[in-house]
Amino acid sequence: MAANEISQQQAPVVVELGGVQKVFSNGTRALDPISLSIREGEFISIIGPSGCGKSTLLRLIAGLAAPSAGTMRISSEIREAAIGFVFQSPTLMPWSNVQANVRLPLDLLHAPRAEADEKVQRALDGVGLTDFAHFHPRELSGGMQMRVSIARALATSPRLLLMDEPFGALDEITRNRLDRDLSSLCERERLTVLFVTHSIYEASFLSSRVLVMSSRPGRIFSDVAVEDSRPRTEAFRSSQSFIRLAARLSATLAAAMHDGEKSGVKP
Amino acid sequence: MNRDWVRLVAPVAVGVAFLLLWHALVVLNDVPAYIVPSPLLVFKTLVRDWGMLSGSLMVTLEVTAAALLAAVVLGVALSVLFVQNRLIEASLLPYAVILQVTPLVAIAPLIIIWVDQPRTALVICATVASIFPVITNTTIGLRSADPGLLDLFRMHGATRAQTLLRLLLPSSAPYFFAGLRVAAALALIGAVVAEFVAGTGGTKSGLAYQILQAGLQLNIPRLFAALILITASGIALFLAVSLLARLVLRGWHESERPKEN
Repeated sequence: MAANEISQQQAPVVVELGGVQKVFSNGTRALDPISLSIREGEFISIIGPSGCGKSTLLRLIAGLAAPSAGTMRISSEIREAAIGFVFQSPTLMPWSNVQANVRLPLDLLHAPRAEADEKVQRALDGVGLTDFAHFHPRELSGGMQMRVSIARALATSPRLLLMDEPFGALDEITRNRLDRDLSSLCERERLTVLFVTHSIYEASFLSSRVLVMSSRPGRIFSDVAVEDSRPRTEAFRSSQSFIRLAARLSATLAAAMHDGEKSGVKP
Repeated sequence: MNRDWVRLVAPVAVGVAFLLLWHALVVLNDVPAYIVPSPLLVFKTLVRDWGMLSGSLMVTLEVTAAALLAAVVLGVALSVLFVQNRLIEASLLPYAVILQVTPLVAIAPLIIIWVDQPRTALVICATVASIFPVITNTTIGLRSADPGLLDLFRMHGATRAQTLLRLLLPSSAPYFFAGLRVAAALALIGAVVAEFVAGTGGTKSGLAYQILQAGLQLNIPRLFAALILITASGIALFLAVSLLARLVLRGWHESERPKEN
């Protein structure tokens, strides 16, 4: 447990935000200057009230939006492997089967055919969908569609995975199972993950570090390290440290929301 | 299963009943054929004049098909252009609207005067009549791509061509087919109306010309026969487009999803 933590402290910084700020064209301050270092192998959850800029932060790192001010450094290793992104909804192409959907990022990056075949196969194996390669999205359940979406994000063998409330729409049992699978998958592949969620329990279960954000404008209210070893198993859910962590996050989140309400009053 | 039968049998029964009533009224009242021919006489005329009418049918169908093809190719190309650049859309869309709201009967004479080749003039008229629904529907469809998928394409450095072929065009397919269904009917109407307007200046060979001639000669049974062929063409065209839409969308779009009880 301690060894795990020490190795993570020493792991290289792969994403570094220095005073990154985002102001939308309509004048909304989505993110106040945020400074954040993400080390390789960290599983960072971001929780916070709606409109606190969680998704904006992911979009900035993904390169889908440009910061209004500040510096952003992403290691070349992460950039070269392409960043994996998982959206709130499965966001699959309904006209293509599972295999073609997972293959999409590889096609767009012009990956050689044989290499792409192999990577798609491995990504499907990784999420347990090998037998469903030729199904169309609408023939699958919501949980399976989400697995396809994760397989697609993993197809390019990314080193950084950005996930924007990926399991929010699923029932709790499916969500717990996917969380479990995700935890072991990330540990196995030594992935760095930034995971936006509304669920304190999901954040507690998955993370090595939790960022609590407050809103209007969005900023990091609290940065909580979680020292328990990963991957987490079902037993972790009933452990003392899980319960303590959830209670602590709950209190911090309440304080962050209160703080947001105070500062939300227009001067 | 039962419901499907009702949907098939009920309209056929109404049709048969209508034909019987029509026949009975004509025969009982001794209505002369140059006012209202009996359905039996119309059918006999259709068979007797088939040589002439089938030739005209082919001409009208050819004009319709060529116009529909032109409307699809030009309409989709214009929609793609509109989506690439807002300035192009802002500059051209008003003219497409003007073209649409100006009655075809009013511009057809000009087109027929300006274009030497009568067949080409008819195709142009029918294209003008049918292109608008293709443009509007396809444009909406191209703009309806899933924003998440658009982000994904952008993140992986997709080229414009990749985004167009692999995301925008497939996304627009359901909208395109909805437009195509309307365009198919309009192309046929356009072909017939244009030939009416052209009159003796036209190709002198389509179904509309047969109707004009039959009217002048008071050959009402033949007029009815030509009318029936136009209607039948319209229905066949509608069914063909519906079948095509089903083949393309069956695998994935809700509109063509097989119904489950």
